[in-house]
Amino acid sequence: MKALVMKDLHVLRATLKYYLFLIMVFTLAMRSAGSIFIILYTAMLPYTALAYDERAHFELQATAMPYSWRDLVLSKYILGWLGVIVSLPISIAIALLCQYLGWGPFYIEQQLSALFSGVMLLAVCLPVMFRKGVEVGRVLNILMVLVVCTVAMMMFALLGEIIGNAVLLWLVVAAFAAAVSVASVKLSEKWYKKRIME
Amino acid sequence: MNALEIRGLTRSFPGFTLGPLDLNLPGGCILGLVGQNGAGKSTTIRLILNSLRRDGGSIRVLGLDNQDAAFTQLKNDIGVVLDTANFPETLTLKHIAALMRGSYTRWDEARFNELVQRFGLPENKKFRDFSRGMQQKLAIACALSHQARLLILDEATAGLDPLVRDEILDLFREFVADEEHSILISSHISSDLEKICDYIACLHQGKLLFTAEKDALLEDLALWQGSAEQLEELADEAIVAVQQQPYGVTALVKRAEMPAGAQLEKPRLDDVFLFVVKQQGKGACGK
Amino acid sequence: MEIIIRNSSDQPIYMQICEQVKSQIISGALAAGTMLPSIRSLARDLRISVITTKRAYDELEAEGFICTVPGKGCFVAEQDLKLAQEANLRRMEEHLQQAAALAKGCGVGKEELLAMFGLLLEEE
Repeated sequence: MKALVMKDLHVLRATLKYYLFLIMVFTLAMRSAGSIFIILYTAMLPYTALAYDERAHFELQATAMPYSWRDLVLSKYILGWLGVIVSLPISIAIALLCQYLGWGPFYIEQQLSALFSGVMLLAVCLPVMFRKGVEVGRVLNILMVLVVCTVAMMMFALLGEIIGNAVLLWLVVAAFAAAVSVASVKLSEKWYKKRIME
Repeated sequence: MNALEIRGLTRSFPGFTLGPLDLNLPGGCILGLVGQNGAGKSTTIRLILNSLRRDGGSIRVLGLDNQDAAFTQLKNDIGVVLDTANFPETLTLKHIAALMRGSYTRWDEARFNELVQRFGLPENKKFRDFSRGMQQKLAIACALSHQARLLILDEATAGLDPLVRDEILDLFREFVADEEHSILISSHISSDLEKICDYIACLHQGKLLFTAEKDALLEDLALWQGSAEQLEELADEAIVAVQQQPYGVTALVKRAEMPAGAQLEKPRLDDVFLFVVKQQGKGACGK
Repeated sequence: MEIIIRNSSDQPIYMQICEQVKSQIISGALAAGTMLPSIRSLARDLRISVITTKRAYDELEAEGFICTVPGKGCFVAEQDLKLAQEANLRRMEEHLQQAAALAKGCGVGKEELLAMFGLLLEEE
């Protein structure tokens, strides 16, 4: 499985360079709000990796190798989770820099709510990608990014008001994201297997 | 033990039905699956790898049902070359080697490097810049480098020039020098299969026309040429298939049923294949 | 051991192997006790089917030219050369009988047939 994730990172090498460029553009254009987009953008890397796979029909190669359907879908989730986790400190660093430059205040809640949105984005969109293919999925994705992010951030804010205690809030949110992700992986596995095997 | 055992395998698509298919690959042997493009060779191979749903029948690979949960791990023992190599275009040979190393439990790096050198594959070129021949060679190098017991090769030699093709066939012969090793190889180039196979299965429009031991098949059958009147004189049971030519008749006949002294030629596998397929089109079945 | 496979020959491949090994045993080129290559390595080197090679070895074994020692390999068997020679004579007779029958069937006379045979012998 590690080999599959590494393969995706190699595939995405060119994309990642472009990604560094985007970080700068977002930061300059949107000031501290741009730091949020970095996390959300990273959450979309698995779709790009999947697009490369689909173009090469890598699934035919992969199913000839000692991998289960779960391995194949899970590797894309891991890529996404790895992405959002790695981008979190980058995002915080940028937000702090923005604060230092007087471009806007820094709230850790902003970053954490983006992280939550990123994980939710993966959980909602990946099953659709696995079922419909990236090309169809991408169109839906743009809609879903807006909906999922709005809902997730609202939820985060709402829960924050209800719970009050920051640590408890993060625990509740993390548990919720984990539960949704587990269900999402299972759904992806089922849908992907069905699509390829037809 | 049979390396591959297929019983009553069926799968329907809109406009195409495969099977019912019965096929055996005895351990230590090479079975060639010959058929035109679209005959169902790749579908059969995907069904064997269980990356395609089957409608009915059973498939045992190296003794294990391919729908068993343990089949995923058994794929360590199966080297696969697909009709088109399927790696994302931005990967290089190094990346692909890393993927294989991390995926197969018995990856043999030294063997892989040896094959890469032998094939003259470039190390830092992106996969999309590989020629079709190079892609095939890379896929073959991968399949031969993880100590598989069974090779499943879908049109593995199709994109290669004749010289390289011969070299690759030698590699496959070397592979089966170990009697625990077996190969299923599909091709629409029957001359390759004729060179290498122990058994031949002929697939046409999703159906098996015949399976036979290759040498016995080519020795039992013969090509006969003559006039239409001479053909009339031949015993019915001697004739497998007939083709009208502008100045006479060519027939595929059974050597043993022919009168002594008849002028017979040894057929190529290609001849047998074409005769039987064309006869099939006429509604009668040969052998 | 020398074996040459001719694809153009009408003779089945396994028979070509049998004949050539036999004649080398009878001529003494292959001495009794000589180890023969394994079926798989011979098949690989001749680039022919394992099944065909096995059939050739089975045939040779059935006729007593070679023997298999399990776990060790195939060896040229101790030959009663007189017996082998007799078998060869018998086969020559059979072939000549066939030729005679064929000649009779298509009206080729004794002189013509003998002349043909003489010519063939000279060619050798």
